[in-house]
Amino acid sequence: MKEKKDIERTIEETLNSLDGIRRAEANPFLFTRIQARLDRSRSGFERLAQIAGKPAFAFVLLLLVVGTNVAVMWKGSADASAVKREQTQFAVADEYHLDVPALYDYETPEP
Amino acid sequence: MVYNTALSIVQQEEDAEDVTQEVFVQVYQSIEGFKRESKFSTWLYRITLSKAMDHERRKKRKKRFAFVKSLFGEGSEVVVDPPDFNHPGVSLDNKEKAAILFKAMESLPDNQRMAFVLNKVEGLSYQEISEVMETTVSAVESLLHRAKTNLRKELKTFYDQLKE
Repeated sequence: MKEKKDIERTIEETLNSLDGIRRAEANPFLFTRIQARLDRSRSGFERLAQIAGKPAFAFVLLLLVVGTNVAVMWKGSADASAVKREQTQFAVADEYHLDVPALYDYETPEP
Repeated sequence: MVYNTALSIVQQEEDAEDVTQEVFVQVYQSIEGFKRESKFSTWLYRITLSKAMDHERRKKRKKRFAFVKSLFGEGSEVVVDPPDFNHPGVSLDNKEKAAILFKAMESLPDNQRMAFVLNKVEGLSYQEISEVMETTVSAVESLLHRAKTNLRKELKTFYDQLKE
Protein backbone atom coordinates (compact mmCIF):
# COMPACT_ATOMS: atom_id res chain seq x y z
CA MET A 1 0.00 0.00 0.00
CA LYS A 2 2.80 2.37 0.96
CA GLU A 3 4.74 1.30 -2.11
CA LYS A 4 1.74 2.04 -4.35
CA LYS A 5 1.42 5.53 -2.81
CA ASP A 6 5.15 6.10 -3.29
CA ILE A 7 4.89 5.15 -6.96
CA GLU A 8 1.88 7.42 -7.45
CA ARG A 9 3.72 10.29 -5.80
CA THR A 10 6.76 9.67 -8.01
CA ILE A 11 4.53 9.60 -11.08
CA GLU A 12 3.00 12.96 -10.15
CA GLU A 13 6.46 14.42 -9.49
CA THR A 14 7.58 13.15 -12.89
CA LEU A 15 4.58 14.70 -14.59
CA ASN A 16 5.37 18.01 -12.91
CA SER A 17 9.12 17.86 -13.57
CA LEU A 18 8.79 20.28 -16.49
CA ASP A 19 7.37 23.04 -14.27
CA GLY A 20 9.52 26.16 -14.50
CA ILE A 21 11.34 24.87 -17.57
CA ARG A 22 13.31 27.51 -19.46
CA ARG A 23 13.56 27.71 -23.22
CA ALA A 24 16.55 25.94 -24.71
CA GLU A 25 18.90 28.15 -26.68
CA ALA A 26 20.23 27.07 -30.03
CA ASN A 27 23.86 26.85 -31.02
CA PRO A 28 25.00 30.39 -31.99
CA PHE A 29 26.18 29.09 -35.36
CA LEU A 30 22.67 27.95 -36.24
CA PHE A 31 21.77 31.44 -37.39
CA THR A 32 24.76 31.45 -39.79
CA ARG A 33 23.69 28.05 -41.12
CA ILE A 34 20.15 29.25 -41.73
CA GLN A 35 21.41 32.44 -43.41
CA ALA A 36 23.64 30.38 -45.73
CA ARG A 37 20.77 28.07 -46.58
CA LEU A 38 18.48 31.03 -47.38
CA ASP A 39 21.18 32.58 -49.56
CA ARG A 40 21.49 29.30 -51.47
CA SER A 41 17.71 29.09 -51.93
CA ARG A 42 17.75 32.57 -53.49
CA SER A 43 20.11 31.39 -56.27
CA GLY A 44 18.51 30.96 -59.70
CA PHE A 45 19.21 27.28 -60.09
CA GLU A 46 17.69 26.30 -56.79
CA ARG A 47 14.63 28.44 -57.50
CA LEU A 48 14.27 26.69 -60.88
CA ALA A 49 14.57 23.34 -59.15
CA GLN A 50 11.87 24.42 -56.67
CA ILE A 51 9.49 25.38 -59.48
CA ALA A 52 10.25 22.21 -61.45
CA GLY A 53 9.58 20.14 -58.35
CA LYS A 54 6.03 21.43 -57.96
CA PRO A 55 3.23 19.04 -59.02
CA ALA A 56 1.49 21.81 -61.01
CA PHE A 57 4.57 22.20 -63.18
CA ALA A 58 4.75 18.45 -63.85
CA PHE A 59 1.04 18.40 -64.71
CA VAL A 60 1.38 21.28 -67.20
CA LEU A 61 4.41 19.61 -68.80
CA LEU A 62 2.50 16.35 -69.12
CA LEU A 63 -0.44 18.15 -70.76
CA LEU A 64 1.97 19.81 -73.19
CA VAL A 65 3.57 16.49 -74.18
CA VAL A 66 0.25 14.71 -74.57
CA GLY A 67 -1.18 17.68 -76.49
CA THR A 68 1.79 17.73 -78.85
CA ASN A 69 1.45 14.00 -79.50
CA VAL A 70 -2.26 14.30 -80.19
CA ALA A 71 -1.66 17.25 -82.55
CA VAL A 72 1.01 15.35 -84.47
CA MET A 73 -1.20 12.27 -84.76
CA TRP A 74 -4.17 14.37 -85.89
CA LYS A 75 -2.09 16.16 -88.52
CA GLY A 76 -0.65 12.85 -89.67
CA SER A 77 -4.07 11.27 -90.10
CA ALA A 78 -5.33 14.43 -91.88
CA ASP A 79 -2.38 14.28 -94.31
CA ALA A 80 -2.94 10.58 -94.91
CA SER A 81 -6.61 11.12 -95.76
CA ALA A 82 -5.69 14.03 -98.10
CA VAL A 83 -3.22 11.79 -99.94
CA LYS A 84 -5.82 9.03 -100.18
CA ARG A 85 -8.39 11.50 -101.57
CA GLU A 86 -5.93 12.69 -104.18
CA GLN A 87 -5.12 9.13 -105.21
CA THR A 88 -8.83 8.34 -105.56
CA GLN A 89 -9.30 11.44 -107.71
CA PHE A 90 -6.44 10.39 -110.01
CA ALA A 91 -7.83 6.87 -110.32
CA VAL A 92 -11.29 8.14 -111.28
CA ALA A 93 -9.84 10.65 -113.77
CA ASP A 94 -7.70 7.94 -115.29
CA GLU A 95 -10.57 5.52 -115.69
CA TYR A 96 -12.84 8.00 -117.39
CA HIS A 97 -10.03 9.59 -119.39
CA LEU A 98 -10.72 12.94 -117.78
CA ASP A 99 -7.10 13.88 -117.45
CA VAL A 100 -5.74 16.71 -119.56
CA PRO A 101 -3.69 15.22 -122.34
CA ALA A 102 -0.09 16.31 -122.50
CA LEU A 103 1.56 17.06 -125.78
CA TYR A 104 3.57 13.89 -125.72
CA ASP A 105 0.40 11.81 -125.31
CA TYR A 106 -0.65 12.43 -128.87
CA GLU A 107 0.51 9.77 -131.25
CA THR A 108 2.42 11.28 -134.09
CA PRO A 109 2.18 9.15 -137.19
CA GLU A 110 5.49 8.07 -138.51
CA PRO A 111 6.34 9.28 -141.93
CA MET B 1 10.62 29.34 -29.61
CA VAL B 2 11.12 27.34 -32.82
CA TYR B 3 14.23 25.55 -31.59
CA ASN B 4 12.76 24.87 -28.15
CA THR B 5 9.57 23.36 -29.59
CA ALA B 6 11.49 21.30 -32.14
CA LEU B 7 13.91 20.08 -29.47
CA SER B 8 11.09 18.99 -27.19
CA ILE B 9 9.60 16.86 -29.96
CA VAL B 10 12.66 15.37 -31.66
CA GLN B 11 14.70 15.18 -28.43
CA GLN B 12 18.08 15.51 -30.13
CA GLU B 13 19.97 18.78 -30.55
CA GLU B 14 21.30 18.10 -34.06
CA ASP B 15 17.87 17.04 -35.33
CA ALA B 16 16.30 20.08 -33.68
CA GLU B 17 18.78 22.32 -35.52
CA ASP B 18 17.88 20.65 -38.83
CA VAL B 19 14.18 21.10 -38.14
CA THR B 20 14.72 24.74 -37.14
CA GLN B 21 16.55 25.35 -40.40
CA GLU B 22 13.73 23.74 -42.39
CA VAL B 23 11.17 25.88 -40.57
CA PHE B 24 12.90 29.14 -41.40
CA VAL B 25 13.39 28.14 -45.03
CA GLN B 26 9.68 27.29 -45.21
CA VAL B 27 8.77 30.62 -43.62
CA TYR B 28 10.99 32.46 -46.08
CA GLN B 29 9.43 30.68 -49.05
CA SER B 30 5.80 30.94 -47.88
CA ILE B 31 5.77 34.37 -46.23
CA GLU B 32 3.78 35.84 -49.11
CA GLY B 33 1.11 33.22 -48.47
CA PHE B 34 0.71 34.27 -44.84
CA LYS B 35 -2.79 35.73 -44.79
CA ARG B 36 -2.59 37.35 -41.33
CA GLU B 37 -5.75 35.52 -40.28
CA SER B 38 -3.83 34.39 -37.21
CA LYS B 39 -0.87 35.72 -35.27
CA PHE B 40 2.55 35.25 -36.82
CA SER B 41 3.67 33.21 -33.78
CA THR B 42 0.68 30.88 -34.25
CA TRP B 43 1.67 30.30 -37.86
CA LEU B 44 5.28 29.73 -36.83
CA TYR B 45 4.27 27.16 -34.20
CA ARG B 46 2.16 25.35 -36.79
CA ILE B 47 5.05 25.06 -39.24
CA THR B 48 7.42 24.00 -36.46
CA LEU B 49 5.10 21.26 -35.22
CA SER B 50 4.49 20.05 -38.76
CA LYS B 51 8.22 19.84 -39.58
CA ALA B 52 9.09 18.26 -36.23
CA MET B 53 6.39 15.59 -36.52
CA ASP B 54 7.42 14.86 -40.12
CA HIS B 55 10.95 14.35 -38.85
CA GLU B 56 9.72 11.97 -36.16
CA ARG B 57 7.71 9.94 -38.68
CA ARG B 58 10.74 9.67 -40.96
CA LYS B 59 12.84 8.49 -38.02
CA LYS B 60 10.26 5.83 -37.08
CA ARG B 61 10.07 4.64 -40.71
CA LYS B 62 13.88 4.29 -40.83
CA LYS B 63 13.86 2.27 -37.60
CA ARG B 64 11.10 0.01 -38.89
CA PHE B 65 12.89 -0.50 -42.20
CA ALA B 66 16.17 -1.27 -40.44
CA PHE B 67 14.36 -3.79 -38.24
CA VAL B 68 12.78 -5.52 -41.26
CA LYS B 69 16.17 -5.58 -43.01
CA SER B 70 17.75 -7.17 -39.95
CA LEU B 71 15.08 -9.92 -40.03
CA PHE B 72 16.24 -10.83 -43.50
CA GLY B 73 19.85 -10.74 -42.41
CA GLU B 74 20.53 -7.78 -44.65
CA GLY B 75 22.96 -5.23 -43.39
CA SER B 76 24.46 -5.32 -39.95
CA GLU B 77 23.85 -1.62 -39.50
CA VAL B 78 23.57 -0.83 -35.81
CA VAL B 79 20.45 1.17 -35.03
CA VAL B 80 21.63 3.77 -32.58
CA ASP B 81 19.40 4.11 -29.57
CA PRO B 82 20.34 7.51 -28.16
CA PRO B 83 20.67 7.96 -24.41
CA ASP B 84 17.92 9.65 -22.41
CA PHE B 85 17.22 13.18 -23.51
CA ASN B 86 18.09 15.97 -21.08
CA HIS B 87 16.37 19.24 -21.91
CA PRO B 88 18.84 22.04 -21.09
CA GLY B 89 16.11 24.24 -19.63
CA VAL B 90 15.07 21.79 -16.88
CA SER B 91 16.23 22.55 -13.35
CA LEU B 92 18.96 20.28 -11.95
CA ASP B 93 16.84 18.54 -9.33
CA ASN B 94 14.21 17.64 -11.95
CA LYS B 95 16.59 16.46 -14.67
CA GLU B 96 16.26 12.74 -14.03
CA LYS B 97 12.47 12.74 -13.79
CA ALA B 98 12.20 15.05 -16.82
CA ALA B 99 14.30 12.63 -18.87
CA ILE B 100 11.91 9.80 -17.91
CA LEU B 101 8.95 12.00 -18.84
CA PHE B 102 10.39 12.91 -22.24
CA LYS B 103 10.95 9.20 -22.92
CA ALA B 104 7.33 8.46 -21.99
CA MET B 105 6.15 11.29 -24.28
CA GLU B 106 7.47 9.39 -27.30
CA SER B 107 4.66 6.88 -26.87
CA LEU B 108 1.90 9.51 -27.06
CA PRO B 109 -0.23 9.89 -30.20
CA ASP B 110 0.84 12.88 -32.30
CA ASN B 111 -1.93 15.29 -31.30
CA GLN B 112 -1.58 14.59 -27.60
CA ARG B 113 2.19 14.97 -27.80
CA MET B 114 1.94 18.32 -29.60
CA ALA B 115 -0.62 19.66 -27.14
CA PHE B 116 1.46 18.48 -24.17
CA VAL B 117 4.66 20.08 -25.50
CA LEU B 118 2.91 23.37 -26.26
CA ASN B 119 1.37 23.46 -22.78
CA LYS B 120 4.16 22.12 -20.58
CA VAL B 121 7.29 23.19 -22.46
CA GLU B 122 6.21 26.34 -24.27
CA GLY B 123 3.74 27.40 -21.60
CA LEU B 124 0.92 28.22 -24.01
CA SER B 125 -2.63 28.59 -22.73
CA TYR B 126 -5.45 26.33 -23.89
CA GLN B 127 -6.74 29.15 -26.09
CA GLU B 128 -3.35 29.63 -27.73
CA ILE B 129 -2.93 25.89 -28.25
CA SER B 130 -6.39 25.69 -29.86
CA GLU B 131 -5.36 28.43 -32.31
CA VAL B 132 -2.13 26.65 -33.19
CA MET B 133 -3.78 23.26 -33.61
CA GLU B 134 -6.85 24.78 -35.29
CA THR B 135 -9.26 23.15 -32.92
CA THR B 136 -11.51 24.11 -30.01
CA VAL B 137 -10.47 24.80 -26.42
CA SER B 138 -12.49 21.82 -25.20
CA ALA B 139 -10.72 19.58 -27.71
CA VAL B 140 -7.39 20.81 -26.31
CA GLU B 141 -8.57 20.10 -22.74
CA SER B 142 -9.53 16.61 -23.83
CA LEU B 143 -6.19 16.06 -25.57
CA LEU B 144 -4.23 17.15 -22.51
CA HIS B 145 -6.36 15.05 -20.17
CA ARG B 146 -5.81 11.98 -22.36
CA ALA B 147 -2.11 12.76 -22.67
CA LYS B 148 -1.73 12.87 -18.89
CA THR B 149 -3.71 9.63 -18.50
CA ASN B 150 -1.52 7.88 -21.06
CA LEU B 151 1.64 9.27 -19.50
CA ARG B 152 0.56 8.06 -16.05
CA LYS B 153 0.05 4.54 -17.47
CA GLU B 154 3.44 4.64 -19.17
CA LEU B 155 5.19 5.95 -16.07
CA LYS B 156 3.48 3.38 -13.82
CA THR B 157 4.77 0.58 -16.07
CA PHE B 158 8.24 2.10 -15.96
CA TYR B 159 8.36 2.53 -12.20
CA ASP B 160 6.82 -0.90 -11.56
CA GLN B 161 9.55 -2.47 -13.69
CA LEU B 162 12.16 -0.43 -11.83
CA LYS B 163 10.94 -1.78 -8.50
CA GLU B 164 11.23 -5.41 -9.67
